[in-house]
Amino acid sequence: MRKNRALAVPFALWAFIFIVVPLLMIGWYGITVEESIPYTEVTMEDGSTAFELEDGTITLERPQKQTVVSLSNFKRMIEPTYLKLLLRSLKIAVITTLICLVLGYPVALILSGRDFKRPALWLMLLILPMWMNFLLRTYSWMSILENSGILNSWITALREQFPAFDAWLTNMGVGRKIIFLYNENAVILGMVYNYLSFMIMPIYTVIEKIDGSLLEAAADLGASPTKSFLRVTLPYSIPGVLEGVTMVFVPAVTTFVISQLMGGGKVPLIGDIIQNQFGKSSDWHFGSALSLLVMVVVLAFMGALNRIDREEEPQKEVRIL
Amino acid sequence: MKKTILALAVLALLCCPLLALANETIYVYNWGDYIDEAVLDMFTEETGIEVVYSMYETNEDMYARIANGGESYDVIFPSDYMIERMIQENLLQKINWENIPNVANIDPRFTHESYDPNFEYSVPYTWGTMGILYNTETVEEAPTSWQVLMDDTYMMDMLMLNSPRDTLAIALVMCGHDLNSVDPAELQDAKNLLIEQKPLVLAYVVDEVKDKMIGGEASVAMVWSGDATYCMSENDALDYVVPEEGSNIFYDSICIPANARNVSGAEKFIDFLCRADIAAMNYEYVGYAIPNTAAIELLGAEEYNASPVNNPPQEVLDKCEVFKYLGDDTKLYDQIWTEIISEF
Repeated sequence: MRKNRALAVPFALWAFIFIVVPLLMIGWYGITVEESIPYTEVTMEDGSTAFELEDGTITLERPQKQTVVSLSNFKRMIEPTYLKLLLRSLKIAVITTLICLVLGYPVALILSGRDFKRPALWLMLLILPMWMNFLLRTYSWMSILENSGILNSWITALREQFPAFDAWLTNMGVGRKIIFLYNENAVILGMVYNYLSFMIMPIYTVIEKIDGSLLEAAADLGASPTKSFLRVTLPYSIPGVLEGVTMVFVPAVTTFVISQLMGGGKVPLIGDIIQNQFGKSSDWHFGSALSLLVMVVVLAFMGALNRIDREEEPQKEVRIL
Repeated sequence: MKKTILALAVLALLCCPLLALANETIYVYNWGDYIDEAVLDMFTEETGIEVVYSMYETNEDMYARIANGGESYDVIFPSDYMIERMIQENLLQKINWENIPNVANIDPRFTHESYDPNFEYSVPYTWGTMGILYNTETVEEAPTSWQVLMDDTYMMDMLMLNSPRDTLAIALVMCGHDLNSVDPAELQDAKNLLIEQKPLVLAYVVDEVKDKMIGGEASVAMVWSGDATYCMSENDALDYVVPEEGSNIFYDSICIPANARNVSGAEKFIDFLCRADIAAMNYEYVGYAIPNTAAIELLGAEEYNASPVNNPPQEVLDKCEVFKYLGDDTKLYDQIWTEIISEF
């Protein structure tokens, strides 16, 4: 037992330095603000510059900013502007997760089907694009969907080729260029594309492990394929679904680059605002407070999922019996 | 005998790093892609001083490194407002001009700006403006005013910068206010203007502005002059103008941090960068306008001045202003900007 504990030391150390300490730092930044002390510059009799504080004291050193504990970051956070952004992030994340689930579940099901040949190859093809950097993949979508992009140039070519098609589109009120990018749908598309395989993989892994004899037994006992799916496959795949949902939802809530690139900055999400605080706006304190808010939301979500997971468990046992 | 040779060899190897240490070294911290790196080798060759060169992406990154005192650099390249902040926070040291004779090459038009009014802490390295990049194929009349950004001819055909400070500054200028204003009422005007403009804007972009303008994605965009130079070199249809109402002018300058270890090496390096041939080399590599009169002569003043980026009319330049360090009011800008972009 002792030996085993010793083996855990590197990880504990790692976790402490790279998880606990940064969390504490974010917490500390979140509850503090930089405050500058008001002062006026005065010229002394000998011509040198000095600094007069509001209470009349004069110092030769320019008064520097001070870090003070304050709840003002949290006060600012609950203003409607930021709550609206958080709600929009949640909305987009939920939509993305649902679309990924609807698209991903059948794919996982088909891939794990017993009649399906060479699932490894297909899985590989699904995962292969994920080996590329996601920025690259997002940029590719931009060059497809841009006003001057591939899709628009095809449509223009078709219009020139077929005047009837052109007339029909013009009748429908479609302009010369169709603007696909720079809106919420484009952001959702970018996110679904980037996160879809995170939904497929865990569901596939779970369905693949379902004991085939259970399905055979269901068929022997006269269950239709639909019924055996509903009574066997679906309930057994729930843990995979929950994992997939977590793996899509959590990065979707916190994403920032995809919304900037696909939404053209017109669909800012809470992640974009946090990034701003650590970049251009240079307000690490407010950025940390916002990060804490997002962490609380994600934790609440994971807690809710855990609950579902636990409620599922006893039923599973009943079904096995 | 063999052993002795071996021992000597080992000793020699051990001494190598010591020898390197004995050489004089300076630590230079610059923006990415902001110097012709051949210049660094030339400097080492001429002076024997080794240059350890590292790069940053934003003023804020650089500031965090210097202010937290983790590392010591001898030469840095902050922008105007950051210089103002660093002077206030005692992070820069005054430059001894006696050791930098080549400072005579610097055009006095570009010194004594508000961030360093007595010209004590910084040597301007490059300068640039904020302006309008437009596509001459789709924009019939060359714009002269910022008002083109409110023109609904270009509905969903213009790009704005996703940057609180830069975009609000332009809106303030359009409202006739000072571009460094921190007056809430004036900022409110700017905010209303930008909200009114929102339906016309195709996208709020950062670095993507370059690709999009080169690819013809939009007709009009607000850009920094450095980006404009790059876009114009890639697409001949593009042209650049600094609007007549005035704009933001920025300087990236060479400074010595207060905690620099090798000040005399830093002075030699700064003097080297101010030399006409070296400044000309860097201009050709970086592409930003330079304040170095001697280098411009060397490059051919006529060709240099033909570019709208390098040579906006003096009366427009007179109306251009540098950013001041906003201190706590940065928050106000960020808040207003978030309100603008989250309006939906």
